[in-house]
Amino acid sequence: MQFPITRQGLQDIAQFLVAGIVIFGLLAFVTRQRGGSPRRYLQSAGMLAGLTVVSYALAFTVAPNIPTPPVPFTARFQSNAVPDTTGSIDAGRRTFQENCVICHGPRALGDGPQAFTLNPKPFNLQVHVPLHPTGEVFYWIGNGVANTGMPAWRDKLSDEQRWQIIRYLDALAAKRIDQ
Amino acid sequence: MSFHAVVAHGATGTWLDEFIELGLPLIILVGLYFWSNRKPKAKQ
Repeated sequence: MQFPITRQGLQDIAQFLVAGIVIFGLLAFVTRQRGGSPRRYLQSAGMLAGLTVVSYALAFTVAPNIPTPPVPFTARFQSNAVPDTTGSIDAGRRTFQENCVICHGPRALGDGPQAFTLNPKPFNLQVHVPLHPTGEVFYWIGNGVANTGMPAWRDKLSDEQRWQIIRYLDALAAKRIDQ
Repeated sequence: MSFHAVVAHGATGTWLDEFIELGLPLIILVGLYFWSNRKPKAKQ
């Protein structure tokens, strides 16, 4: 069974805890200045420090490493510019089969003939496309994904073609079409 | 579009990721804050 928190998630948690250490440190300082006992605040900061160490230890041992390539925040909110019609899905399928199959495979499972030469290997898009906002997927197709074999298709495929590919992948992932 | 659709997915790809990565540390911080501010019990 996979550990239920990713390395990136544990790093986020650790950052949260470090912020907590700073806050409790400040509270202890202020309390001491006012003549009170800062003991509990310092104990809390100590517990948070311990949890931070545990978070980092788990992050780099048992937690799965699932990096998400960075996408501009506003790009995430883009919605698909082409309608969800059979025509769009068919056009997306054609573009996908012509350009993407070699790496992503005929059913976007990440099993294309060239996939085995890539590191990291292409993900199963039937699993991953529904897990990401449409705008994020559109951005990755257009701009590529750094440190992977995914090239930028912005200059080779039009915006419309890229949105159609996403319509096709959505339909494929939702099992509305077989291939 | 839901809130879940604009955040990167974690290990499980469900709301559980958000709870663990955001809710859990928040609960810990709030819990420790209240524990730190608790008045010590008066000795008999």
